[in-house]
Amino acid sequence: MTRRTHVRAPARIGGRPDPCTTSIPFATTFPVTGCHPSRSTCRLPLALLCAAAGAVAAHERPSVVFSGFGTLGYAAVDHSEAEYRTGGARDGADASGSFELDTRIGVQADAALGHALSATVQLQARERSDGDVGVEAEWAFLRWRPDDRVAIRAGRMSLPAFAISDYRSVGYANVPIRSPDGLYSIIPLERLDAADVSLEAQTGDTLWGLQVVAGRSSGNFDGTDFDARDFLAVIVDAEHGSARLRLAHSRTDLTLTFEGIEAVRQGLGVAATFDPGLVPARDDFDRDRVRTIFEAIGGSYDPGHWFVDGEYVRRRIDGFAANVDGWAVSAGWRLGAFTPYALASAYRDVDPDRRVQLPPLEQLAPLQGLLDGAYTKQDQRSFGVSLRWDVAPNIALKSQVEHVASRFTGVSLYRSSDDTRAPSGTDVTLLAISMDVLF
Amino acid sequence: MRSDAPDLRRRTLLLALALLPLPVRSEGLVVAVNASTGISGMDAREVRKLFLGKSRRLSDGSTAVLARYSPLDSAFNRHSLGRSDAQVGAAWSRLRFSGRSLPPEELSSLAALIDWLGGTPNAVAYLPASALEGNASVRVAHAIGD
Repeated sequence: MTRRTHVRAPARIGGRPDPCTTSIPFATTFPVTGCHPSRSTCRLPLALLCAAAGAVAAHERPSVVFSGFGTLGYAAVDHSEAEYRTGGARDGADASGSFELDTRIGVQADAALGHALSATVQLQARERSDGDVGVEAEWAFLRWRPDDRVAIRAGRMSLPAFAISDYRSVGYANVPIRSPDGLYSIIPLERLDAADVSLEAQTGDTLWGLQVVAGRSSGNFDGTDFDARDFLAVIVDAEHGSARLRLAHSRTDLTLTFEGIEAVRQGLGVAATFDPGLVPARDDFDRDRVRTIFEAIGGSYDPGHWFVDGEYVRRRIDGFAANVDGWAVSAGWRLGAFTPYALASAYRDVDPDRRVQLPPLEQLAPLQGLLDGAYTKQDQRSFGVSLRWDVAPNIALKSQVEHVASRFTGVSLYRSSDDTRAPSGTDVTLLAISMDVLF
Repeated sequence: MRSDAPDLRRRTLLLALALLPLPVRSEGLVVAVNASTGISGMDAREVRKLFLGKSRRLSDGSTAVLARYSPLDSAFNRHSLGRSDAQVGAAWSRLRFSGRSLPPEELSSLAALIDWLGGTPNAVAYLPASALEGNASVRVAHAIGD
């Protein structure tokens, strides 16, 4: 058995009552948003921690390690009527500047349970899609590692569709302040309640990784409810020297609902009987559990003093949501404690124009508005430069200037006065500074 | 104005020096293992693989257990991994906060590191070769700079 007498968790923290034996749920001490206390997912992290503590007590000294990360970030745009938002958050950066876009904090507990079992719980506080700062469990899983090449996990974990999905919230782990939003908005869901299997192998000097994950996820972004069932992803990773290649294929049955979707369905159902030209639109809206596929191919080369990476992703979906392609590339140089860096990304709706024209009747105007909204083409291009300064151990200061442009509707661009999208053709320059820490 | 030129040159030189990584001595640093480990030695690639968290598998099929004493980090990171402390810290933060693996446990003194190496099966750590003289429970697997 591993001797780990150096890291020992106190049975009680700061003399507080043991949360496992106290019936007060986490939700009463932390504002857990998007997660009703009666839902089982809320109790999952606490239950896991308690299970971990119990299992530890049963046969060895507890070995729990606590750690955390945080970003204090300030950002502003140069456009008086636009606001830059990310990840479905209700607030972002406008012309008067804001800490809401990039600021966040995360804490993690890792417990070794013996018998190759471990538990990990990570809570993150940041701006959420309801406009408040909310704490949620990003990770909460039990892992069994019967062999150092095999890991089986069950619980809450990140949705691993793209290259840095697993750690994009950890500012210190990344060179830029923000991962390319165009790319990551292709699938706004970030977490899965799932099980996965990871395998490692080595052939010659090449390290191979295979991850298969199955689960489900849900969330609300921009007024649309996402319900992803039967999510399945297969990820292959190969690393040879300084080069790395990653392929990911994910599929899910996605149900998208928004306020007024029933009215759209009924209206189109009637209208399509009079105008056969509306049949495709009727069919687009009249379905749930739409098969959706995400594909990503990414690579990086990092010999130490410089690095370059890139990723190409696409979303293929039936129904009214758009088929989308996106890419991002970046490169940087490491000059001692300084890392200057350049990044570019694009997001493009690849569908033909699907907008439909209803008869110009006054009573159809709201329906026309909803249809126009659903069929709006979204796009975004960005180019930026950034400087990371590793000023002290576990502390990095960063600054970033990014030009974000759209021809149609920018995926990250909103009106600062309300929650609607910025008008077509809006482009902004986004300035940001941040401090990232590990603790 | 001409008299400013040497000053400017000096400043440029100072700036260039500030940007360069501090030279850190790796003299005599070795990667050592618990003597019960079935491996005869490790090459530089295996050392990098272990201490950048890419794999914990040793060549005899066993799973390495890692620890470190932080005053030795900079020299090891620079000479053995070819990375700055910040790069190595960022790499481990990616692994830790994506729930994959934890970084090497940090011990409080060189003496504690040597005790731990001698008493932990499959233990691997870097330390000065001179600290191991006459210690039968710990074996050198790789000399840095080889």
